[in-house]
Amino acid sequence: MLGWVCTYTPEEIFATLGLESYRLYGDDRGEYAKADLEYLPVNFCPLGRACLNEGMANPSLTGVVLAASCHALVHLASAFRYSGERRGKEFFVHLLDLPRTPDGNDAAVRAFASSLRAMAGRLSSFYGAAWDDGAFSEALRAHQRVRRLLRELYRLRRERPEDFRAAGLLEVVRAAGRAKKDEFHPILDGIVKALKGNKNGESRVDGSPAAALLAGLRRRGSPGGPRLLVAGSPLPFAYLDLIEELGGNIAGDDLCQGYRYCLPEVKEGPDPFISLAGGYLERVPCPRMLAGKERFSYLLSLARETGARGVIYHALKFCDASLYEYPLLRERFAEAGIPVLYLETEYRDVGLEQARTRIQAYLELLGEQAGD
Amino acid sequence: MITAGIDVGSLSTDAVLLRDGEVLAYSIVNTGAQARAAAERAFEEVLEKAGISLSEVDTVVATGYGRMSVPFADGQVTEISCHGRGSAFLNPEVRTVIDIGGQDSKVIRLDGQGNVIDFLMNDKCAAGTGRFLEVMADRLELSVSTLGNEDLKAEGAAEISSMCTVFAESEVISLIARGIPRPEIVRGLHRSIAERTAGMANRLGIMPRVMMTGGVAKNPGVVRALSEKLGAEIVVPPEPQIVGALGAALIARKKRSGKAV
Repeated sequence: MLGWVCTYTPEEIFATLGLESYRLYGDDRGEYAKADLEYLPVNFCPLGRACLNEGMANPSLTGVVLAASCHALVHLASAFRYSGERRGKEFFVHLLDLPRTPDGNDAAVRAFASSLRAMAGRLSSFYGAAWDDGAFSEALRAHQRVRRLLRELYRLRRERPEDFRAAGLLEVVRAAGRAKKDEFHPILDGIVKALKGNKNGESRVDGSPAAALLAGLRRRGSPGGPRLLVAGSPLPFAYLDLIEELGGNIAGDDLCQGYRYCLPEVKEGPDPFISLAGGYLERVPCPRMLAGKERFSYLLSLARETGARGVIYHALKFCDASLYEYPLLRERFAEAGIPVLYLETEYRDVGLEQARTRIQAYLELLGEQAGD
Repeated sequence: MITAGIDVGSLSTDAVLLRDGEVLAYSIVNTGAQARAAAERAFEEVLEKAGISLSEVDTVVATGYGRMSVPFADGQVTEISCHGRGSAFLNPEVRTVIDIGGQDSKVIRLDGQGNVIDFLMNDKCAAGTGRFLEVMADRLELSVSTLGNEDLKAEGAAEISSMCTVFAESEVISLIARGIPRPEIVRGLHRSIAERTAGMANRLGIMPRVMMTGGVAKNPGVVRALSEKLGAEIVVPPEPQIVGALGAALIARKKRSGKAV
């Protein structure tokens, strides 16, 4: 079983090689909850630390692939390598090189394709797995089908955000990142059909793994609350629930564990690695990419499309990418007349009362703007 | 129409009674360990001062971190909106409010009508707030209310580099050990609060007039240091500690009448 973290990791490669994989989300309650302190300093990305704990707690994990997308993940790769050595385990660690220039830059696509090819080569020799072009086509299709349905869920939420629980939607995206895509597709299909009011979908969901996901997705909010966009680093779910409890309706997100995961469109071509590199790099870039203008234009258009009157920007403590992006983003949105609320967490469901005042004051401000 | 505002803060709980836009009475009590009991005490005290009975009060709005623990309130509004509303009522020219309370500090930008257009709050820790000054005053064998006078006696300011309450306290201890005069240590502490607050204010961008509210505004040493740091005049209302409760009472009036304040 392979673990991975960054959204720039093409899972299709693992599937093609017949390797089971799952995304680490830093779900680290339990025995290893504080193990990270043996390997990483306290002023280190809390998501990275939590992912180390989650990985160490899973005895079937035999390796990780970490994209070198930020310093935290580079150090996390070392921590995994070292923890494997200390435990006397033969543990596969691959640091995936990732260019910083998105948007159809030919050199970047070729460079990333060559990183992907090297990774596939290392995986094949470590796990004794062989690349198969037919399996690759199948993997592309399976991933594409799941991503399309996830985008469909996001579309439904955009129509009626007051009926959706944002944390529930992210839970579905998480489930997709943990699952075999051909097994998850029917579950997701049932959820989408049930949400569209299709009785057949509802009955297919009853008693299946989809039932809990579907229950977590549903909420009865007030359609009168302001629509909001959530951006920045991944948020603890309790914060999303708090935003909704206080009357906000989350209509869209720009989160790497959320909508951005659903976006890559990989077109099959003569070279599978060029296809993957193109698909992943052409997707909406994350804050660590050098894509200031394009990224902000995209976020502004996302706010327009979702009808968001406000943006809640979350930064994990010590996250350079988010902390550098935030002041620029705040300025761009202020020009567009959209105020931004800044929240900072350590990727834990704590500090909620302090956040309550900030969020409530922000919603009061939006209410005054709208003349409520 | 009589409305009340109750601001349950981390250190003090304040209540204001308002009749037709005029302050009838106010009270300030210690919050202690029970927010609800403090709110009841502050409310009883203000009613007694004004000589009116509970039944005469039309609407009560609670604010402050303990706003959810006021069972007799008709609504809860955050202290950010309340400080904005209260400041604009006291001086309609105010566009920036700096509120330093017991455990947090905030900078609030207002439009011309007392509506909040933007705000920033301090980080999670209580560095640079009322609680910080209490700890330091205690170490210097002073009461928090005499810090301002002590500052006036200073001929210079000691350098306090850390804003963390714990580390600043050990810096203060070493300054005492080196025989640095107490007034200079106090001024150094005030300057360090001013630097931190000015940094936050400049991040949001200040616009005159600037009003300072919250308990720490009662300390002229902090107000002067902050005014110097910002290069702007700071207006301090006669009773800065009750501005949040005043804003809550004004919002209660608006809620009741459905009219703009």
